[in-house]
Amino acid sequence: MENHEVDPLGGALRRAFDRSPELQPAPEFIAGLAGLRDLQPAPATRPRTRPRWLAVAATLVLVTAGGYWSFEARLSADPLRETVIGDHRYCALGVATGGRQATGILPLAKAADQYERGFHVLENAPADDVPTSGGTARVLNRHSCVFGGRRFAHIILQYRGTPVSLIVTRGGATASSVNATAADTLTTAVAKDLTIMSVHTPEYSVYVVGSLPASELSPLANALSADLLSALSKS
Amino acid sequence: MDHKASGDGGTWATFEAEALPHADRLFRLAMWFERDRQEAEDLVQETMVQALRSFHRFQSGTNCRAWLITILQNLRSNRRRARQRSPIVEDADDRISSAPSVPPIPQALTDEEVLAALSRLPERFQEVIVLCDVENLSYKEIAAALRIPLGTVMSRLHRGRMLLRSGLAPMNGRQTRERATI
Repeated sequence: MENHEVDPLGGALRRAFDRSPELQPAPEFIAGLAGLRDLQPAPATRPRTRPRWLAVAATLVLVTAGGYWSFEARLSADPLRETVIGDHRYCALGVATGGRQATGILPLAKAADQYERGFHVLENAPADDVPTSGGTARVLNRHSCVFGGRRFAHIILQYRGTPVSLIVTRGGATASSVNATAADTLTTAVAKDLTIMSVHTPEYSVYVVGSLPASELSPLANALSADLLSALSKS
Repeated sequence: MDHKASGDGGTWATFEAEALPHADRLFRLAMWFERDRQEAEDLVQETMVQALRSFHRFQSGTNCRAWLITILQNLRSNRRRARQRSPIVEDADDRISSAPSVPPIPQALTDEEVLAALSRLPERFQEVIVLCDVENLSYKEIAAALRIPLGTVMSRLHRGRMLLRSGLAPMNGRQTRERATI
């Protein structure tokens, strides 16, 4: 760093910035940035040398578990999953605990007008009470927010005693992940103690995220995605 | 040395130690220019997200705050373009390198007076003054953050400081009057 001329006013400016109440961040905002931990890059994988017989055995295992392997490969190809997990942690859990929410929060109607027309659908769908075979989920909050540079429609529900996020965003699907014409094409992933169920259309990605096991979350995810896919297809 | 994802939380631990402590200052910077708390929080959050994702490219031992400010400024520029605001252009004022006189700096300035005077300057001058005098970035770092030539940084800084002093000059008169009444 080269030296530069020190201006006598610099000290006054620095002090004014440091002391101005209007310029200070809210403590909960700074604390909430720790939630970005969920976005850290996936660990790098390195090729390792193994004996030939081990490679053969591994191949056999892979062939046997072929279906499962392709399932996992599809999951890891989801470019948005980490961001969605972050939004759930940062926003939904913040709402549930009265703490920090995500940023860029707008009413759905306003976000739909300004950014994504399809979000209008989520003003009324799903209904405030969603009956499922696992119990009724109740909508706590509907809004649009920004996380990881992406704008979402975010509906927070209370289901089986825990907050669950329904998160919708434009795009996000890869060619192989576009699967949605019916709710039975939901893809399930488990990461960071959360279950993430998703369905992708060419236009939208729909995620249901919660800390419940997949067996408990799936009745709600099926109910929500069936309603939404139908409504979004007409939007 | 570049930071690599170690798979054991090492990336986050390093990021948490090196980058997150600058969040307060990034926020003050964003808040100063955006004048909107929500927008400032958005900017800082997005800056941190981008920084975390590209942290493997950050060179350890270099100025992390300058690196973060560069990301923040890029995001501001992108958002400005998205809003189709008129871009910051270099105008004739940027090339003015001398002024007929240098007003003296008033002695007992309040924070409010200093910030009010700064806020009255065109944004291109505010940017270089804040990055230099508040954030203590080098000319080279400012040029990188704002994507302007080094010479433009220096001329804007000189011109901006002159304007800032001129804006504060009326305070001299006020202070003289106050002393006279004591």
